[in-house]
This record gives sequence, structure tokens and C-alpha cells, in this order.
Amino acid sequence: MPETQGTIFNIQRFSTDDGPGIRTTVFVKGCPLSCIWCANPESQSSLPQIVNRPSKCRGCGKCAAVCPEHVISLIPTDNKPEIRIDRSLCKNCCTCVKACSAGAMHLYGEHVTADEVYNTVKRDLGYYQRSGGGITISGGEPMMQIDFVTALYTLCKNGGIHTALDTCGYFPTEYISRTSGLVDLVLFDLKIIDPDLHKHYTGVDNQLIHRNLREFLKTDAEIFIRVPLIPEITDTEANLTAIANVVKSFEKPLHVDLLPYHNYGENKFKMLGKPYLLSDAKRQSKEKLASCLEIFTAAGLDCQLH
Amino acid sequence: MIESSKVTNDFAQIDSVNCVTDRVASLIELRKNAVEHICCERSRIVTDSWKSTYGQNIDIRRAKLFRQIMRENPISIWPGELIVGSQSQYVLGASPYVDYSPDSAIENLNTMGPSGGSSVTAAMITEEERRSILEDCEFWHGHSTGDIVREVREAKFPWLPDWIESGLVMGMKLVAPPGVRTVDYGKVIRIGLEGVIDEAKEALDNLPYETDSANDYLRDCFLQAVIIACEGAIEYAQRYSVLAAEMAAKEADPVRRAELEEISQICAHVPAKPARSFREAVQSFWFIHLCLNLEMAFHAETPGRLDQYLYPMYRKDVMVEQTLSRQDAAEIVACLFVKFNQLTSVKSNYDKKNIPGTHLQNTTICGVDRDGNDASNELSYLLLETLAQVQFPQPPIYVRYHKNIDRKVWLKALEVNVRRGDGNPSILSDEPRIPSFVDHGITLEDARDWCCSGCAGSITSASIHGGSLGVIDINTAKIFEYVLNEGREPKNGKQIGPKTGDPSSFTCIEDYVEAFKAQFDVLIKILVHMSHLTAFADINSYRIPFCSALCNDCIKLGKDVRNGGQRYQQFLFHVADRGIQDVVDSLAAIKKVVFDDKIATIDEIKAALKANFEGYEELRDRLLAAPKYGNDDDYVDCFYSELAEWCGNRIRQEKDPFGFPQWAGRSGANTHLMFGKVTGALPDGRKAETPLADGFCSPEQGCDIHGPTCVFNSAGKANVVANSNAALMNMKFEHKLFEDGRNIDKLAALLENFFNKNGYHVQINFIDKETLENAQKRPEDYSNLMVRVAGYSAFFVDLPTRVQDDIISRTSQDI
Repeated sequence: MPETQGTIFNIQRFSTDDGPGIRTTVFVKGCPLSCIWCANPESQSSLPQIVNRPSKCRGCGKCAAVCPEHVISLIPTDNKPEIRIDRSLCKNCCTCVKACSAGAMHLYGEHVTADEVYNTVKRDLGYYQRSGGGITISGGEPMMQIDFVTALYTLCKNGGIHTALDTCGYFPTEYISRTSGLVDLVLFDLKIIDPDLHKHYTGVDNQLIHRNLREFLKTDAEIFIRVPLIPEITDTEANLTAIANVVKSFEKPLHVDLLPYHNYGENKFKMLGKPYLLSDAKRQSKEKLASCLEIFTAAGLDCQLH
Repeated sequence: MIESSKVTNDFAQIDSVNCVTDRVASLIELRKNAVEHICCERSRIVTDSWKSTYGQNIDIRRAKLFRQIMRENPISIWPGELIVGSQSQYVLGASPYVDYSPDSAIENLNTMGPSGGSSVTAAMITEEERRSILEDCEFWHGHSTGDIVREVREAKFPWLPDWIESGLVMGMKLVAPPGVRTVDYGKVIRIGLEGVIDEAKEALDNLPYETDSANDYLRDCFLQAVIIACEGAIEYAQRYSVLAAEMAAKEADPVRRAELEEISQICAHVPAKPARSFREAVQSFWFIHLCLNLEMAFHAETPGRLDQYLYPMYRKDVMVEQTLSRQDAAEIVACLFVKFNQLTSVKSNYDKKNIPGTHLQNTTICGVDRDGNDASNELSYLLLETLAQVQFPQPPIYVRYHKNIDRKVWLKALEVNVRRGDGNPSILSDEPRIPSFVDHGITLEDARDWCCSGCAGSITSASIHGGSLGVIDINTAKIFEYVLNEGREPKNGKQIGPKTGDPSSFTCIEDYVEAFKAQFDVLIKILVHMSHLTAFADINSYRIPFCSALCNDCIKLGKDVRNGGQRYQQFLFHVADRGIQDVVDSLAAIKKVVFDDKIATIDEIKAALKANFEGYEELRDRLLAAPKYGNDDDYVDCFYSELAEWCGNRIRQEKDPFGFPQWAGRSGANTHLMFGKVTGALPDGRKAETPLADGFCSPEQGCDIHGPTCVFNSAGKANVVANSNAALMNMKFEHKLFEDGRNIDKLAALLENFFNKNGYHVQINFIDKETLENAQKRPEDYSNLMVRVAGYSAFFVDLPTRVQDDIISRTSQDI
């Protein structure tokens, strides 16, 4: 059997907020959604992408000098020059990445086999066992790499490691049966209930997402609902009440995680040459977070703020 | 007798005690507002005594000197105190140890303050006091222990200054008072000093004087010295009893008058006789602790297993007879904690840089008992709660983790760690410690009874260790510089180590490893030999009969604890091999850049090191990008596990001056800064004069980029305490990860996994960078901010700027 490859952009050890216990989170590349608040914009494209990290860049210009496609240019500024990459022409050959000793030219996305990832994941087995943790595959949308994630989940299950899937819910419904018995926990995102607003902010319709959630409810997997709280977009009373009503409508009682807003993704938008539309947004106040929580607890749901 | 039948722990009640009562709050204020004072009394007393005992046996002379201190040193009782006993007439005041090292006393009067803060000011010492101390120094000059040892060293090791200049070893430490100790405090609580005197008298009566009379005479003198010293300590407590009674007679407030009368009665009883209550046990402990310090301060005065020897009286009063409420017990403990912070010492300039702040009093709790059962108890829990509420640097508490530790106490320790946010308490593990002690010839029962000594070090209870007798810090990063330069110091070309060949002729990384071992092999032998030649010069000029009276098995053997009286003499000496993380990162960088990627030759790297990487930025980038220890990467971790274990084994092959295998010692507060200062640029990309990696298991600063499980996995690949009394590991987390007590269970799991896989020590800090930077800019606004510098706590604003910078630059675990 040929080794199953996937494209990932990070493996984060000692994750404490992606499911129970101490976990290793594997971030895969490629997502069908394009949420304007995305904290990992480098996860959206399924292709590798080269970026320049200004914090490490000394502005020496070697990257531009070695680029065989001549797609890198130096824009003079008061300080060191700014590096610009014309992405429409970049072929990801990585000549600049290899030439940059400072590590400023960075490639988001590498092709790896499920075995390679598993060899890293299993190194923390002792921590998972003591804390009730395991692996979480996140992204991006893991289900977009269904062959890779089922191969990785199979290795983990055989190795006695608890498995979690962090999903936006937008994928062909038949994939659910392919992960059946391989995923112990699903972290299922519910963002916006109003279909038009959902499409406006994420780029896709939410009908499929709701259908997939109902489909997952028929499996043995445990399900946590995750709600990213985006100021004035998802954290409105109307939207949170609507989410609470959806969750309440299921027979199976579901745990809800609320994820307060943060802007850690902003500089990554900049590096990718994309506009960040939420520059003015701030993390919710304690009071606001408490009132968000209250909507779910008042509905009788088991809800936790992260 | 106390019924051994069931008593139950009431942890919930302890959670709700208020340690900082009005009384305790005012004692805390008194201490915080105190100016550290340099006193002249002890130095005058010891000088007078020494003159009056000329010609007598050394043990007896020292005992009489101690008794004289007990009789004449100023005593004080501060307003509101329940536990009494003050080092001087000041809340915070100490005398320099002119009898040990007049040179450092003189240094002190001329430079910065007693424990390393700002420079000596008029508020700290009067002109008269200064003159008096200088006069005493003049008397001791030339025949103090420090002078005698230095003379031996100068005569026998004329090349030592070259080694110190090169930065292979440090020089100043050798003139400081010795080491770390704990004594059998529990014995005094149980049988009183009168009981100890009875033991000494019995031993004296039984001296045979038949076939070994020469030595019996020396034992005779030692045992007499023990009796004189213990009688002195009893007299000291009696003086407090009299003072309390006098103060009571003059006291207008009837409540305080009654308290003073009670204090007077307690001091009349302990430490002479067995303690009858928890409060008497605490008072007895404090007197002993204080008297030891007045005899001679060590680098660290270790109370040992405080929750064990105080527990019988706690259990009786609080849990069985219920004559003492948990609230009142908490107040007594809080009073003791304030006392710990009043104990100070006048340090040598070396120590002021190395271990600044008030006197280090590492206290151990939990662990297993002598039978191997869990020893954690309700008092352990109360000590932790008190630590959380009384925000002082002392005592640093070390929790002995083991597989069967009471989970409530274990999680409480971590919760308190998060609440304080300064790395106190830190955690040690029984799991690798006890078997390695047994492997070094310690009985299983005594091995189980171990406690923390200095910075995360370890000794059996009622023992002393290290100090000028034979603690040698050796800079292995410097040894790696010799590897690159055929045994020569790169700064001046002087030949220090053996000629291990020109590295440009090395064909593989193993050649470097072998050259390192060859350097280490030769240098370690010479250094240990030096301790043989100086040890007895020190021992024969200095005795500590009061300390010896309370250490195993000095009375039985009739010898001073440093002169063959200690049950486990193997603790007296150690060699601290430091900087190994920098060595292994340098090996990995050479392997990657020279042999695997072939980007540069070793000669090019040497040229870059010589230029401190100026003009070689790109090469430095490549060296920095090579795998680094602390990321669970076997490419580099294999060098760590090989060398950490090899160096330990090599040190063990040497015999200490008493004939025991030499220990390694892998802690030491700020040695990494001082060695860093004298070490040139290294192939791992580290620049010249910057700090080395701290401790022995912590990764180089900023190099651990994959989080704490990777750090623990890297460190867990070697059993670093198999032949070492310590192996320090610092970790730093963002505080917000543990906000509101969340994730404590994950922290517990993280540590448990490490401790069950070779892990020996972890200290966790939570302070964020911004706070520290602000504290550096505006110290006045952050006078309460505490941090732990590699193994102990201090007020951040008291630390030298260089230490502050180091703390700030340590990367937070990126979570």
C-alpha cells in the first residue's frame, strides 16, 4: 500500500485547548471556508505558500537575487526594505527559502506521510495517558484530506491514542462513515445560524454543515460544539441564542465550548498579502463573555469559556 | 502517648484559614521596612573568645567561642511576636564571619550591601561598628581558615590563577563559608538539648582509652565540645526567657503581657527539654536554626523535612487532643515563615553575585517515610497554604513527589505554585533519587529520608554537604573551547588542558566527543586532587561543634561533622559540571554544518567564533538553525544523554578526600551567568560573554521552541542524578494558561510523566516578560515582585541588572 500523504503546516505539542487533556494538534492545510476572522489564514489554501517573516528578515535581498522566476521584489521603506512576493507567479520552488539563512523566508505547508506524523505524535503518549489527552487534527479542514486523516487516525487508534477531529462541518457527508470508529471526539464548529450571514462571512452555505452535524450525532463519537466569538458577527445575542436553540434541539446533550476572539492571525494575513478586515476588533470584555456564557447556561447547556 | 488510631485530614478547613492575621500583617510590615544592617558584635565576641582560649584543643576552642556568642550576642523580641529569637539587635542584621574569611569581611565593608543589594550606606553600619570589625579582621588576618586554605592552594597550585582567568573554574567561592546543611531538628524536639548532652556524656564515659588512646583523647575533646555548645544554646534560650519576663513586667496591654509571660515559660523549657506542644516544637526548631546560623552560616541553612518532625506535635494538638485550632496553628506557622525572612548573612562578593537575597532556607515536604509509605500529611498542606498567603521569598519549599503522593497535597502544591507565580514551591522526585542514593551505599531507610540541600540539591537528613571543603564548579563549555584550540585558552593562548589534536584533522563528530572526554578526563583529575590537598587544611582550622552535636553520627563516632563524624561522608564533596547543554548544542551544530550539510569548515567556524560572529552572520544563522537540545530531537539529544551520563560516571571514578566516590552536583544558582561571562563564542551560535544554559536540564535560552513535553522528553533521555546530588530544570509558562486554577491537572500530568522517566527536579515560573521589564524600569512600583533564580526566590528588584536581564530573556514556553 502506498504511503498516504497529507499537507500540514504545523504540529503543535502540549495543546491544552483542543479537547481534553494534553494533546498534540496537527494542522492540515486547505479549507473550504474563508472566514474573515480566520486565525490561521495560512490554512485556507491547500497549496504550500511562501511568506516573509519581517521579524526575522534582515532585508539583505538574497531571496530576490536567487529567485529563478523573479517574483520577489524589495520595496524600500524608512527601515529595512519590505519583501513582496508576486503569488500569481510563484511556483513554490523554495530556492529563496533555502537561501535565507535568517529563516525569514518560510514555507507554509509540507507534504508528510501519516507514518511520519504518527512518529511525532506518539512521542507524547505518556502525557496523553496521564491526562486523558491525545491527538487532535485541525486545520484547515481535515476532512479535505480524508485519505490522510483516516490513515493517521487508524495509526493512532492502534497505538492506543485518543483521537479528536476539529471540523468546520463542510465536507461530503459520506466521509463521516469513513471515519466511523476512528474518531473519539468531534469538535464541531457552529458559527452563524442565519444562512445569508453565514455565507457572507465564511463564503459557504451552512445547510451542509447542519446536515453533517445531524449525521455525526448518529455515530458513537462524542461531540463538542465550538463557537468562535467574533465581535458583532458571531457573538450577537440573536446568533448565540439561535445556536443554543439548535444545540438544545438535539436529543443527545452536547457540550459547548466558547472561544473568545483574539487577533493572533492578523500578522499572518499581512504576510500572505491578504487584507485583514477585523483590525479594530478587540477581545471581548469579561462582562461580555459572561453574558455569552449565560445564554447557553440559561438554555440548560453544559458550556465552557476558553 | 498519642493514640495511633484514626485521625482525619481536614484539608477543606486548611483552605479557609487566614494566615495573615493582624499580628502577622504587622510582623510582615516590620520585616519589609527593615534596613539590612552589618553588626560588629559577633566578630568582637569571637575574637575575644579566641584570644582567651589560646593553646586549647580546637574543638573545645570552637565550642567555647560558640558559647560566648550565645552568652553575649544581642537578643531582641519584636512587637507581637509569638515565635522569638533574633539574629541581632536589628530586625535584619548580621555579622561578617571574620574568623572564617576576614578578606571577604573587608570587601563587604567597602562594596555593596550584605546580601547583594545596593552599596553599603551609613544606615547599614555606624563608623564605630566599621572600625570594630576592621580591628577584628586585622587579628584574624593570616590565620583564618580562608587564609590558611589560600596559602596551601597558592603553594601547591601556582597555575590556578590561569585556570580562574580562563574561566574553567571560579576562584572566589573558595574563601566563602562552607556549604549546605540540615541537622536533626526532630531529635531536639523529641529529647531536648539536655537529652543530646546526656548522649554525649554517656559516650564520654564509655571512651575506653585502651588501644586507641590518641584518638580517644580527640574524641574526648570533641564530646566535651558538644556539651559546651549545647549548654551554650540552652543559656541563649534562657536569656530570651528572662527578657520576655522583663518585657511582660513592663507591658501595659494585658493581652500582650500574657503572651510575653507564655513566651518566657516556653523559652525556659525549649530547646533544653522535649517540646510539649506544637508551638513549643516550632520555637525549639527556630532556636536551633538560629543558633546554627550564629555558629557559622552556610550557603544554605536547610530546615530539612519540616512537615515530618513538626507533625507529631501538630497531630497531637490539632487532630487528636484538639487543644489548638487549625486557625491558631496557621498563625504560628505564619510567624515562623516571617522569621525565616529575618535570617540574613553577610556574604562574600562571590556569593552576593551568585546567591543574592536573604539567607537561603530550602525546606522539604512530602516524599515517602522511612518505610516507603506516603509521608504527606495535613501539616504539609498547611505549609503550602501558608506559603501562598505569606508572600515572602523564604522559605523556598521543595515538594518531594512520588508515585503514591496524596493527590490532594500534590495538586495543592501546583495550585500554590500558580498562585504565587514565582516558582515556589518547586518539585523534586523520589523516583530517580532514592535508588541512586542506595546505589551510592546509603541504606534504603536513610535514602528515603532525604531532603533538599542547596539549589535543588539533595542530602540525607541530619547531614552537611559541600562548601569550601570541595565544591568545585567546572565549566564544560570552556572545556569545549579547549577542544577547538588544542587545550589552549583562546583569549591568551595559555595551555590549560591536554593537546587533543587540531580539529581541522577531525573526520567525524565522534572525534570531537572523544577530544572533549580526553580534556575532561585530565582536568577533573587535577581538580579533585586539589580538593584533597586543601580539604584537611580547612577541616583542621575550623570546627562546628554545635552543628556536629545534631548531625548523624558525630556523637557516636566522637568527631566533628566535617572531620569524619558524618554518617555519609560522600556528601561532603561534589564537582559541579556545568554548561553541558551548550556543549551538546555545539556538537550538533558542528555535526550539521561541517559534516552533514558541509556548509563550512571547522576553521571557518573558529574564525567566526574569534570574531564573535561579526561579519559571519550567515554562518551564525546556520549554526543557530542546527537542532538544539530541548526539542525532543534525537539528533542532538543523543549527545546530551551520552555526555551527561559519561561525565557523571567519570566524576564518580574519582575518590573524594575521605575515599568515597566523588559526586557530581548539577545545580548552583547563577553559575551559568558567571561562567557565561568568561566563555567565548561557541559553535552553537551563542555569542561570547552571554549566559550559558541554566541548571543542568534546562535548554539554552530561547532554544526550546516546541513546548514543554519536548523539553521533558529531551531531559528524560538521561538519568542525570545517577551520580549527581542535583540536576536543576527551570520551566517557564505564561500565567494565563493556569488562570483561575484551570489546567492544573494537565500540569500535574506533565510533571508526573517526567518524574517517572528520570526526571528529578522542575521549577516552574509564570511571570510574563512585560511585568519584568516594567519592574526593571520602575522598581519602586514592583517591590513585592518575586522571582526564582535557578533554585531559589528573591525580590526581583533586589537582583543585579544582569540577573534581571537573564530572567527577562528566558523564552516563555510558547503555548
